[in-house]
Amino acid sequence: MKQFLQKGALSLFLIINILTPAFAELGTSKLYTETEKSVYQIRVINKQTGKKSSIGSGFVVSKNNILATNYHVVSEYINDPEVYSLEYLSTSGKGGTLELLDFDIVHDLAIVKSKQPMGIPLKISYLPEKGANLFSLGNPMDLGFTIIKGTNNGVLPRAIDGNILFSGSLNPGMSGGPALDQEGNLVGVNVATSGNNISFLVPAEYLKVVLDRLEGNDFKTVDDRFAHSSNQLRDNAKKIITKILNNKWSATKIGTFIVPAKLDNSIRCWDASRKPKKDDLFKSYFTRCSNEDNIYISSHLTVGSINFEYLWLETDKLSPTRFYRRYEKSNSSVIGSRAGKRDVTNFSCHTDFTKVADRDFKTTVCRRDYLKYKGLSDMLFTTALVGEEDKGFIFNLDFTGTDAKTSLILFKRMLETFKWKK
Amino acid sequence: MEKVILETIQRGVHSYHKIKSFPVTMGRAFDNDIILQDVTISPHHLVIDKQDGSYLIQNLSTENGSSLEGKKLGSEAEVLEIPAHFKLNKLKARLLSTDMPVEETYVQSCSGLFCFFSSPVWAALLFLATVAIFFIERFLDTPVAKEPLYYISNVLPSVWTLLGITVIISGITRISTHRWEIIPAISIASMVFLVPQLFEYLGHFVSYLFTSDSFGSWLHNIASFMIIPVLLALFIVKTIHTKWLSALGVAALVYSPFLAYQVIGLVDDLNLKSGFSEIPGYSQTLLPNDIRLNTTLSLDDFIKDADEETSDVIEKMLIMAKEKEARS
Repeated sequence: MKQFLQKGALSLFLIINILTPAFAELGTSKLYTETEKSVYQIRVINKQTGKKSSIGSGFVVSKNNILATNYHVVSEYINDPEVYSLEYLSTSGKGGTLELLDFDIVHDLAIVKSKQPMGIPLKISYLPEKGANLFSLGNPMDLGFTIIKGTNNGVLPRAIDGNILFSGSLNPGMSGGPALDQEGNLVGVNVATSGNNISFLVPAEYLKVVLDRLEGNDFKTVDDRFAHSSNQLRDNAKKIITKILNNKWSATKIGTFIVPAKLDNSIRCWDASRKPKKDDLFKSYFTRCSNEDNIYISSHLTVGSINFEYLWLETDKLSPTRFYRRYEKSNSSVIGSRAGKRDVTNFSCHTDFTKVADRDFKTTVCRRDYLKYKGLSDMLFTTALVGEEDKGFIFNLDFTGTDAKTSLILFKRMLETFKWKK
Repeated sequence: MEKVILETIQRGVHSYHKIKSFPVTMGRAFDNDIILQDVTISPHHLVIDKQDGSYLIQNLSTENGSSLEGKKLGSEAEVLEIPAHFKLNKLKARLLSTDMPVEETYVQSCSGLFCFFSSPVWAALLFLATVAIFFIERFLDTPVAKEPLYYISNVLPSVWTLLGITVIISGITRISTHRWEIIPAISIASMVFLVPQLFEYLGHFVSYLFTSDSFGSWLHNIASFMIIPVLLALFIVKTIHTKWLSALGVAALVYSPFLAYQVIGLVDDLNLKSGFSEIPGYSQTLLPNDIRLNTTLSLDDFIKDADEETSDVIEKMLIMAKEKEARS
């Protein structure tokens, strides 16, 4: 599971000791000296207590008073500007306040500005070839500014806009820091880690998109933050689903059905069938697919997941009544999300019987909308084969933070490709 | 010879005293005509006399007093009309005429098919049906091959509970009527398990039939609130021979602790429904025979209906949420 690099808990002392030898290399030390004055610690401060509630890193880019960081570093301030304020701290210990300019919630980027000149802006460049050295800067665990050497391992396959796989050890607090090539050009922004030298960078080209937008807009501060977020999230969801709809899907057989499996390179499928027991009177097969993607909105809310699963049950030993008891127990679906009553409405569901692959199915569509993010919905689809006394088949599909109408189109298209094959 | 009867009701026991002559004195002292052994009664509590064809009642008690037809009596004698209801402190008494008609005799013999409360055949059938339901339920819920002994060991605790309830009901009737009433107790105890289960089956069937689980939950609520008190009342009417209204009252009283528990559950349920739930509520019932009223739609029609309905409901929810936020 990916972990964001925002400082959460003070529990990783061991990692700091392991990192120490990285400072020995000469090239690294030169790079650090050249860029350290453009790198800052970004602090989200609770106005009531005056204490920092989270920290990350940031760097000067585009203009001498413009800083880039991660959206997740400053998300508390973006979502609740009445409660939180934003400050910076330089390598030499100087501090001051910052203001939000713009952000890209999908790529986890935020642009903030200072009233003072902050240093020389880093130059944006293209990602070097796979295997090239990259250098990541930041302030891990609030322990001081560090530089980490690692390797570029290319852009990850995602439905759209994948992150860079950086084989170096990023740590909490380094989020929003710059990742540089050997010439000191900016190629990415530190964003997340899975531990064991598996870290992730946001490609700098997405930062360029936001900066270009700002330049065209005369560096005007974004008006409605929630509308800005929901537009970005909805557009992204539409783009992903449209791409999936245009893909050529691979099919898989489950029971007597041929169903779509790999809708996109970003979607991975796993077999999750239960281990058969010796005294079982029925057979069951279970396949689960997921885009394994999350877009960070706030500390308890992520969206952007697409999950679907197929369950096949069959028997030649159980009576229909007994078989349907078991089958009915499997017919329940929920969305794996931590959205609460302050985030979303209740679900509204519609259930009826539909014809799929010339068979009757009991099909349900459930939708709930986000309260602050207008036009953004969680969608849950489920359909269960009926009218077969010894066979059961359930298909569940769910989306978090998506566009309701586009997801309906994908659900329909998936059902239309189902085929019954004995 | 007077044609008057004095009835006293003490600790639920009705005592009848034929009045041979007046005045009649009532109290705890042994020189009274009617001796009432209750510490709240004064030694000389009350006197009833007859003068010039009229009946007079006079309270003698300075401690707890007496009342006539709900009104407190003073120390003066008052006229009473037969039939008269009066109280010595809280002890009930009536002055009645011997000509007063009595209630109709309750015919205990029962014949025909619907005599399931007192017929041993019905009791046996109900008992066996309940045990069979225990087995069927366990069997249907076990989709793996098991030995018969597994089912027997699983069902036995329920059978013991059923027999335990039978003994409790029978014991209560023994105390109140001095009869064991084993046969009706078996019938009622069996029905306490059997009828709610039949309601569950019906609810499940109806939920699938109408493609809406709300029918099932209504039947479930009716089952949990109504069935047991009604069965208890039926038992009281049939075995203790009281009237329906008082039997229902007693049944509701006996069931009230469980009822309170059910009410808490229902209130929680309603709260959950009116509040936020992260679980989507949709019709999840599946039936092998696929008996339903809804016809099968084309995918296009279904998607159109689903989109329209969910969009409408969500829009209303969002408006409500905005209003709520504005209020707070």
